[in-house]
Order: sequence, then structure tokens, then C-alpha cells
Amino acid sequence: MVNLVTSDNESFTVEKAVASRSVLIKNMLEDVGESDQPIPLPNVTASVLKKVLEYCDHHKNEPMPTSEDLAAEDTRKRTTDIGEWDQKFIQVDQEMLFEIILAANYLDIKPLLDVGCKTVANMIKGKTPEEIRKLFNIVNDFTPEEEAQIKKENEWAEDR
Amino acid sequence: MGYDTVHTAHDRSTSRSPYLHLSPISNLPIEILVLISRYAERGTPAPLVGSTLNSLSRVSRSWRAIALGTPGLWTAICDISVPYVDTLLGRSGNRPLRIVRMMEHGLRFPEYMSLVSPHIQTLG
Repeated sequence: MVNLVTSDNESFTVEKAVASRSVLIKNMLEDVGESDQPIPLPNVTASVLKKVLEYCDHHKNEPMPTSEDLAAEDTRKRTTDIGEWDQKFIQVDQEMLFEIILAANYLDIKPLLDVGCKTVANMIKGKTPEEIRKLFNIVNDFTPEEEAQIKKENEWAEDR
Repeated sequence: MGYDTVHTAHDRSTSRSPYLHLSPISNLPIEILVLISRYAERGTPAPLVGSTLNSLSRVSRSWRAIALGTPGLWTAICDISVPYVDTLLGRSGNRPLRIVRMMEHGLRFPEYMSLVSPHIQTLG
């Protein structure tokens, strides 16, 4: 078993197979060898780690992505399809969604990072700039002149 | 070199997007926003890719910088009128292009080829 300690000082004891879905933790465990020492995760809170571990537990028996898998994802096979369980898992509020993405990035859990990023991408697709701003509470910091210029530059995509 | 070449895995030295103060999305590093943009582009049906990229590049200054700084987003050529092919090719840098689909009202293949031939080294 592996003991993980979050930034808010909560302890999680999990199977090694679950913790090792994180390449960061897997490498730490390999470097340190057999040890009872807790692993500090200063960039992850308990509420986020709980969700991340739920994902890792569900996927613990799946093969880890190989470098070939990652290369394929990087080129032509990039789609926004998300598995059924993952879709339900990632139905969280925006704040938690972005926290999960950050944690997956920090912990180096590429499949979870992809699920999070695909979810955000699916939220963006088909929306106008204004709808995206509203969705994510982003300020439009273009001047009216800049907006007019950009609109002109992007006319090719306007009626598509 | 654009944002295309930035890697994601637990790189804590990455910079945060400077203009997105108010939203939880502001906490995402730029390379994750690039990844999201790439998924949005690749997950959009070919005839609508232009519309998706148009939206992404008009949200805010930082989103525009990310979109225009990621040549890999601009590689799909699909029924684009003549004056804008050069804009698209300029944004795609030296990335391999995808001539995705040509509708009846779009350019014919020889016309596409004559437009992209100056960039023939980028055809993949």
C-alpha cells in the first residue's frame, strides 16, 4: 500500500497499482524502493485527490499508455470521444474540472488529462466567442478597433 | 516555433495565461489550453473547423495568441475561398496540411493545388 499526503494534510492509503497510474508517483516509488514513508503531494488538495484516485482505481487494471500510444494521440488520432464511465466521472463543476486537469498534469496521468481536456474542448465546440466568454467567465480585452480588424481577417470562417 | 512544441507532463515551470484573471480556466497553463484547442479542432467536423478556430481566436487576446501561436491548428484546408488560403497557410507554418474535403461549390482540386503549390514542401 502507498500513503499519499495532500496539500491540506489529508492522508490517503491506496493500492500501489492505483497510485502507480500516476507516472510521477510510479517513478517516485521506483526511486525510493520499498518504504513506509508517506508521499507528499503539495499541489493537490484532498477533494481533488479523492476524485483522481477514483479514476485511477477504476482504470487500475488497464495497460499504461505506451510512448507509441502517446505519439499516435499527438498526430492524427486526436478525437474528442470519451468513454461512458469517464463521461460520468467528469461530470463535475467547472472549478473541479480544471482542478482535475491540473492534478492530472502534475501527477502525469495522461489519460485523465486527455479526458479533462476533451471535456473542455467539447464544451467549446460550436460556440461563438461570446458564448465561450460567458461559459468560462473570460473578459473580452480586445478594443473595438481590434475586434473589427480580427472580424475582417476571419471572414473566411464566418459563414461556416 | 509555436505552442505546438510545448509538452505538458507535470512541467511546473510553465507560465499561466496572463489575461484570464476571473475564471477557473485562468489556472490552466498555456500548454493545456493548447491541448484543449487541438482537441477542439480535431474533434470538429471538417467543414466547421474554420468556425471553431474563428471562435477560439476571438475570445480574448491571450486565447488569440495561443491560437495563432499553434500552427498545428491551421492545417485543414476545406473549401476556403481564394483570398484566405494564404492566411491559413501563413498560420499553419511548416506543418503538414490536410486537404480535407471539397464541396461542389468549393475550389476544384487543380485550383487547390495551384494555390498550395508554393507551400508544396508542407504537404503531408
